[in-house]
Amino acid sequence: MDTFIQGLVQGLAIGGIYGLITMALTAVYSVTRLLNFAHGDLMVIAMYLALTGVRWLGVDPYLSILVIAPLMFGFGMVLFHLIFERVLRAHVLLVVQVTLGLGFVIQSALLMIFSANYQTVQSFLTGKKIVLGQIVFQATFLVAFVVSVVMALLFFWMLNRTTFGRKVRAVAEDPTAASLCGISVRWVQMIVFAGALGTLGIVGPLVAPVFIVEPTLGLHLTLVAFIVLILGGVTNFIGTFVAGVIIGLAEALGGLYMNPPEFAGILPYGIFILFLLVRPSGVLGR
Amino acid sequence: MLELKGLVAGYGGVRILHDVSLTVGATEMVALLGSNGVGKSTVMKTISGLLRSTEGSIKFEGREISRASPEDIVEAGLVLVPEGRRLFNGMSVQDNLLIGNTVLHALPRRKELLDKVFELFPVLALRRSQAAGTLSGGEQQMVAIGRALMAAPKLLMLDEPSLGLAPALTHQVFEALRVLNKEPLAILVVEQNVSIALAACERGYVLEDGSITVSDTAEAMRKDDGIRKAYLGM
Repeated sequence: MDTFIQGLVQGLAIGGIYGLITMALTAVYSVTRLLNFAHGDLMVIAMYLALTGVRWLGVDPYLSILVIAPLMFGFGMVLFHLIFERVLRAHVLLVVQVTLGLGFVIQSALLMIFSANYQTVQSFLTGKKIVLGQIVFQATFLVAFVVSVVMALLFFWMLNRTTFGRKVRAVAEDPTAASLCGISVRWVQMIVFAGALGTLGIVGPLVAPVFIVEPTLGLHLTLVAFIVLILGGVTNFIGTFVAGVIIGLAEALGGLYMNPPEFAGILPYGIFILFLLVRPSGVLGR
Repeated sequence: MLELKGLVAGYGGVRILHDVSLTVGATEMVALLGSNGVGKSTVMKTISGLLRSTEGSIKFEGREISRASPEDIVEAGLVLVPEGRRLFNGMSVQDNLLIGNTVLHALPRRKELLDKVFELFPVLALRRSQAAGTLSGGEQQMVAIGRALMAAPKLLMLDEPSLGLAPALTHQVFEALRVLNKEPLAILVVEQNVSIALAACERGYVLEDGSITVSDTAEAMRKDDGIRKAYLGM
């Protein structure tokens, strides 16, 4: 029972993070129709920034979010202007090539700077346990889960209750009609893209203490995000979060109960294929 | 207020408009008529910045706007109700109206403009929280016009407002346009329903194969034999 609860907490935490990463990807896709294959790699940059902060400057990863998130937001503005804006009207294959290429450039750069070693990021919470009666779980997972839920709720609030959120939904539904309403489509796209990277700038340092950081981690994250994107119903943000939690739970509980445990890695893909066969519109539909 | 001179435009090297010149005064309601496929919608798209003209000029209140972006043109006070309405179907009626209220000079007047739209189209007040996609065609057209009014336009352009509407609703829409015109608000309307357009407007232009061929008062056009035969079926 103890291990099950621990697996559950771990799965919920990782799943919530997957959901959040994918919501950032989905938001960019919905206003630009552009799938960013470097999404996970961009998040890994934020994780390495957190690693740098704790190793060389002695700043706790949670504290470093205050610097990394705005930094990633600014980086997003620059990246949108220099690269993404130029491929907005290009063929979809070109977009795949450009973003995948960007991902490999990031991976190589990280390899050169930080080596291929598997590294862990220590936070002041690392190793701390939370005890609730019989149940014991790690504090870092709880923090990751709580923050991901809060951020997801903030995201829904922004999308449905604010003027900017209304503009985002308008551009997602019909960019031409949005521009006829006086909305600068380019500006909305740029802010959403930068906001997505800013989100990664929060999530990266947040989960750095629970992940093992290495340069190719980004591709795995991108793949998981794409699975969650489709599982969630592509543009259904609530479905995306739920799908993220499903995949996170599958990974965590699979690791505990699958025999041999190496099979756990294929469980998310198995669930993905099952959904495509049985319910292609995603967990909650489109 | 709006002045088009020798406008040439098209899609990807194919010329649609060869020579379009027209004017709309600050208090006028003007009709742009013509049969299907002569380029009426292209004129509207070019004025509103969705399509770049290759030659000629578009002046709005004396300012050249032929190179401006669609959002800047809305900001200047020139707002298009596009063909087929193009509402945000997943959003509520109220959200659709509020989306129209994004330009800076209209923002402080949000409440006043919203009240005005609900006064002009009372049915929208009843449907304010309903998804726009679930409304009838006539109500959707009202939302589209309301959304444009939320930008506090100086000149309202409408592309085929009668499209897909029952005659009674078409009359209701044009009645609303006449009320707006009296405020005064300049209006340029593209219509295939020539009789109703000429009944509501003061002046009209006829577009044929991308060029303006007739420019006259609505009254004279109603009496013109050529127009009666070609567009009014008489």
